[in-house]
Amino acid sequence: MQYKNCRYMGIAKVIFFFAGLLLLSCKNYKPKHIFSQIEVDRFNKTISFKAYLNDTPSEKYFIFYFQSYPWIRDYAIFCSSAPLKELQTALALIDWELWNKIYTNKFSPQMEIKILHENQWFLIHEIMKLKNLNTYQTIFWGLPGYDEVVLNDGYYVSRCSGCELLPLEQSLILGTLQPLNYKLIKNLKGKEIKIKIKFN
Amino acid sequence: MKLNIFFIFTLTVFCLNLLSQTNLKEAMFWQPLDGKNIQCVLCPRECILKPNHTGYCTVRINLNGKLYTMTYNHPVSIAVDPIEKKPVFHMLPGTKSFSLATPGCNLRCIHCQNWEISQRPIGEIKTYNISPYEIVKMALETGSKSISYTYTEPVIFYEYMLDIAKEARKHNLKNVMVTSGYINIPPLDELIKYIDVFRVDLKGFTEDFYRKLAAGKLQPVLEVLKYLKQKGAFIEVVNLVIPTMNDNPQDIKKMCVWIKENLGDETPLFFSRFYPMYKLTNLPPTPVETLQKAYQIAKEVGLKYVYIGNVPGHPYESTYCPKCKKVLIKRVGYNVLENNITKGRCKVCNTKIAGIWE
Repeated sequence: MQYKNCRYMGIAKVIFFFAGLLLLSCKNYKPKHIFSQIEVDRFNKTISFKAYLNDTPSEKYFIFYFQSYPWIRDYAIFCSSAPLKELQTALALIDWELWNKIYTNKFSPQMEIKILHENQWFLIHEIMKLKNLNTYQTIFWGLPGYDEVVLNDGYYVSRCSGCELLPLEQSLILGTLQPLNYKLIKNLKGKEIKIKIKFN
Repeated sequence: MKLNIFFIFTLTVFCLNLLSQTNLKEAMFWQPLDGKNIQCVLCPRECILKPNHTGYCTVRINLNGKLYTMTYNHPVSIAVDPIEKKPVFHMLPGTKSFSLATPGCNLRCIHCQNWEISQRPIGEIKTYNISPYEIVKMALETGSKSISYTYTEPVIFYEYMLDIAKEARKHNLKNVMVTSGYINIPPLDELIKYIDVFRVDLKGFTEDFYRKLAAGKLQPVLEVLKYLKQKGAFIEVVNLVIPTMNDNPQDIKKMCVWIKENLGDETPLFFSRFYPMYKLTNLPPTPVETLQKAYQIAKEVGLKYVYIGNVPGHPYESTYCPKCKKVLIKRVGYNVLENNITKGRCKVCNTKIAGIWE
């Protein structure tokens, strides 16, 4: 009996040893990372953030807007208070090659968008009808040529007070995009909405 | 007689008042020439200035036979940036750096990413009036661990930078100069005493590149780099790789060999991605493959700390231990996700890592 107990103890020690090793090896891998306003799940390739419905009367060209070029805000259905720089970093954290393709080649990734409504997650097409959706119009990702100037929000001084970038920006960003022509199925007005986007 | 004294007194008060209003400060490093002409000897251009004329930088002026700086106390941009944005990777990772610039530049890079403040006439740009003491106070209030002289070329606001750097030292703040290295040796010599990290742009490795794209010369920059190394300054080098302009593998190899031989194999070297900018919008962004190739060349030459810049999330944004190859500092964009350096050494194999870590 004593011999048997000793043997079990030995096995238990070995199991504990390997479990400890496993825990230690997992310690450095953090699948979830939280920036100030965007949560990133690297394992599931998902980002989560909050936004509000932008019910201004102007035409909408993008579904989601993150804080960046202020004049685009009016053209987006949902606006998040998270900075665009944070979104860019979040995607780079998930998959830098995908981010590189989106940013430099205007590549449109496959995305599964879910919106939390009355404690239940809905796919975006269950929340709204979209007629003219070109996947490039899902999120405004930024512009390499202008981001350096625009996204440096730390500047106390407007660096571009004297130059006329706006018409150029507008033609580059909106260009030939069609208005989204959307219709809400659920009532999201006046609520802070939680959104989850999974990149495939 | 009394009237004369009164007149001189009034004129002096008026001139002093005018000087304080326009915030002109007598510049350092210049010499008088014939008549009221003078020569600025701050940078390798060594401009000869006629009365009431500015130098090539547009911010140093000959007034009545004396050289004045027009940017002293006049920052145009102030921001609290992550130190990774400079980029400086081997000094206090994950900390904030109080960053500032005044208008003007002594180069004319056609791909300048800060052209709105570096290449436009000073009169067109709105500036603030902030003394060196106030800058240091602001840096401390924002929890910054360093002050970076950046965005434009800090050489052109030399006196302002020097006074801030001296004040910063009194408060244990580090000083980072983000520069093209286009400066003469005597002014640099004075600066070395106060600057902790020189983040130098080595824009290309041919005279042709410097002449065509930056309206400058390569040789003075190389002299500056060698001098900094000789004086024991800590240097990080950035090479912005521009497609078809300076992406020739032979030139990149020559540059890496030069860095290894003259600055040492522990000098951090960044290959940064170019995005179309300012007057160089006809070229595409640098392909990641080109940057990776440059990285491989530098590693084969034997440089220990090589990075790829402006490609957020790329594995070569991180610092690896040159001995055990483990990740020392994991970065994504300007974010530090992991830091495995303790007391300047690799946590795993205890190898000493070049840099300023505490």
